Amino acid sequence: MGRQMFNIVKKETYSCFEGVQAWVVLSVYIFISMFLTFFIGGFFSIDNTGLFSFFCFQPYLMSFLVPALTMRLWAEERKNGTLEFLLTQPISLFSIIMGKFFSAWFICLCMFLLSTPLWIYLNIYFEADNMSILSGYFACLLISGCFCALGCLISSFCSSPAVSYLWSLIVFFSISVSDFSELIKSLHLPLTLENKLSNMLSLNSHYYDLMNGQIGWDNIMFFVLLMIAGLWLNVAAVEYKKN
Amino acid sequence: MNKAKYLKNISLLALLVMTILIFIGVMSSVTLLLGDKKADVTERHKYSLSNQSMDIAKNLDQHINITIYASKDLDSEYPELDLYRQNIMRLLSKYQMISGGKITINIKNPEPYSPAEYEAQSASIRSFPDSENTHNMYFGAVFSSSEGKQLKIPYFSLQRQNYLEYDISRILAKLNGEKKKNVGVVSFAGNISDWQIFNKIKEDYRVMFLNNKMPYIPENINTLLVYNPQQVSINFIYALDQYIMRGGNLILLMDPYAEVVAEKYPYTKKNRNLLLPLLKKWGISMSEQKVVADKNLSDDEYQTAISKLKNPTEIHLRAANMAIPNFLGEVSWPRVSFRSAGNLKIDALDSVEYTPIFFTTDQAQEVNADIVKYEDQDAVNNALSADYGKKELAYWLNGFFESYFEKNIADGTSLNEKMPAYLSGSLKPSQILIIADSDFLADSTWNLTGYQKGATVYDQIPSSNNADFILSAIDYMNKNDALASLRVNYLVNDEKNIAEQIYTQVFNSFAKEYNTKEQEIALLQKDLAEFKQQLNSRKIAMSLLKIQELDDYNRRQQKIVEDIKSLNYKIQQKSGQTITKIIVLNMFVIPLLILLLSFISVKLYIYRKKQNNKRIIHE
Repeated sequence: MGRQMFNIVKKETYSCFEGVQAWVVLSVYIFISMFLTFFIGGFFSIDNTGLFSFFCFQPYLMSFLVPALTMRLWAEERKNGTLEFLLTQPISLFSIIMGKFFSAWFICLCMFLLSTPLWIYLNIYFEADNMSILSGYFACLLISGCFCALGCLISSFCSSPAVSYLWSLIVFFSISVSDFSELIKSLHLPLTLENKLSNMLSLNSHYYDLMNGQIGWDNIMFFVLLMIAGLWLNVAAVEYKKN
Repeated sequence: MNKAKYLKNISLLALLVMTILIFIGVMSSVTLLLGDKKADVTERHKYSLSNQSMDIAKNLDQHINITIYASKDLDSEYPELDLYRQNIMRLLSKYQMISGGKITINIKNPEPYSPAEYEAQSASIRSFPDSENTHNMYFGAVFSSSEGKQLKIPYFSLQRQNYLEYDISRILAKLNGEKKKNVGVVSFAGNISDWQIFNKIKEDYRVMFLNNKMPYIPENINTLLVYNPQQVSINFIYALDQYIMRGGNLILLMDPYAEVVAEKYPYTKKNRNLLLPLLKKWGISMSEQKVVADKNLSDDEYQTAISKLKNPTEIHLRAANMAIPNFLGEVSWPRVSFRSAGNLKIDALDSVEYTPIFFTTDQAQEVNADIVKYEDQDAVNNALSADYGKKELAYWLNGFFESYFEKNIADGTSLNEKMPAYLSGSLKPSQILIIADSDFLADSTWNLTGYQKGATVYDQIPSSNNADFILSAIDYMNKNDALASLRVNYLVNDEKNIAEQIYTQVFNSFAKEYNTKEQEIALLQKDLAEFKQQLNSRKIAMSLLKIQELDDYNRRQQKIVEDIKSLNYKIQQKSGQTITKIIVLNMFVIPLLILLLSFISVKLYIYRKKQNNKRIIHE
């Protein structure tokens, strides 16, 4: 199964880099990311030992860049009519899904790698809190992993990549912006419990914890569970479509 | 067919709902079981409790109940306060965990006209309006012990974020703590009881303001703070001398020119520090005329070179100019500020240990205190002495002293009966901290908030660590080690932004040139002053040649000033260029280079692979 999955990862990544898609995403990511860091995030005017100016925009940036990577994973197969062919191959459905997921996640990793020169630059010329920055990158990887898994799921429901992109964009932005606190408030729970619940369900709260170098099991579990849930539902959705 | 599809849709929906429920269930368990356990990987362990705080929480003798009054709509009205609230809750739950159940936390939402609001108001929790000014909001805490003692933080100010752990630990220590010790204050500059430093001392000690003419210091005074001793009576000198003979602890703040006092009483006659002969007996001397000036420490590093010329008598010391003894904490304070301080000199006694604490760079100069009084910075800069050298601004003395007096000054009077017996030498060792600047304690030197009626310690926004240092000294003198070591962990925010760092780096690359110019101008000004003096005293006759010489001096001075200005412009330009370079490099050059290289490598790899495939097919 591992080898089959690896082959799918290779094939998907290869097709991404063979065209312009991956290159465009990488270029847009680094340009916008650095623009936000320097001009909106106040890179020069605040204490940036933990690269706060860079990390604080990542969830929003991921919200519109990850859909560009995941939109074609299933939708394009369906659009080109290769889905049936793929599903009849002697490869397990789980391997296909994991392969597609990892290929998208790999490109996210490339995006983050592209921003590491800033980290190196900070270390050489200024002061850097390396563990905090590492924790920030870990948070970025987890959040992009979640978005990749959910993006795969959304793509599996759509027949056109554009529709898949739009749906993913809406879902990811909603997740990034909303924190369910209003919903939880309406339950009229004790304030202590209410705080815990709204923190528990807020993606931003978990991301900010990791970004600030406060790594907890609840933060890691939140992202891992979201990934697992996304992938599991993806299997179910493809099975559903297959039948 | 439709029914089958409907069933399938329903089952998919059910699966989705089930997944969400499982997700919430697992996350709830993880949050409840492990939510408070966080690894703090930051370099300075910003989010971890210090050992001192952990000791305080572990050693609580009584049950402490913490009630947080936080308005529910804090998140929508003031998101930054809501983020802070989350940090506070996290920190408190750490205390709770370490205390082993001795701390309980309640959160209350003081909704308008609710019992919780009345409760918050009666506990003096400070209210603030919501963004539309329709109702009051609250964000404070009340700490109550099982003994019935109650302390509060009326408002969690964002600007005191760095002090949060200290504030909480201090309250817990106080609720758990012992009887307050007495700190006596003797001021020779009128009423200073409304200064913020005393609010701070009062948190942990009982502050007693004493009459500055009394011939003896009460025995219950554990530490005595003497502020700006001017026009001191002989009675008080005797009182101080005998206080030290009895092993008293003293903090003495004096200087050649007390700016705060001058601002308060501008028309007072010239003062005289009559304590100086007593200090001489202790092996310490200070000129009454000269104020220390150090251009290298005169302003914050990031300020421009020209502003460094502005006020060289206002100096800010950092780690390199401090030698904090171990007993006052193992770390250096980030920043301590002085305003027209004096230069302390020692003539060491064998029985006393002298520890210099604050000192200037080797490039410090002196200036006459009378010139500083006129607040004409150009005049101050022109009058700086040419003798450069390191000046000592504070000393810690520890040891045995001899009395300045040969007998009790009240001998033969009725007062003698009330006074303690005369001692000619120390009974036990004394701790004396001498700071050559009385402005050291003034709000304007260390506290950004300044004077506010009804302000508490939670309103203070320290810009320098002056008050922290004095409190650590008092803690050490009173053997209050837990508080002393706790304090050194919570220092003023010394974070530097990247632009400041760039400016400093660029400035350092021009420092040599800059210093040469400054020395040139100092020498020229000295020559010019001598020349003018000779002209005025008619030692040399005024002639056309002399007028030309005078013009020449002025021209050269003008030229150097222009050079300094151009140097400053260059520094600013170069800093700007560095910032542009960083942006261009990180936004375009490096990423594009990496992308280009990766693109070429990937395309080459694909091309070779295709060639390989073609060859295989061909074969």
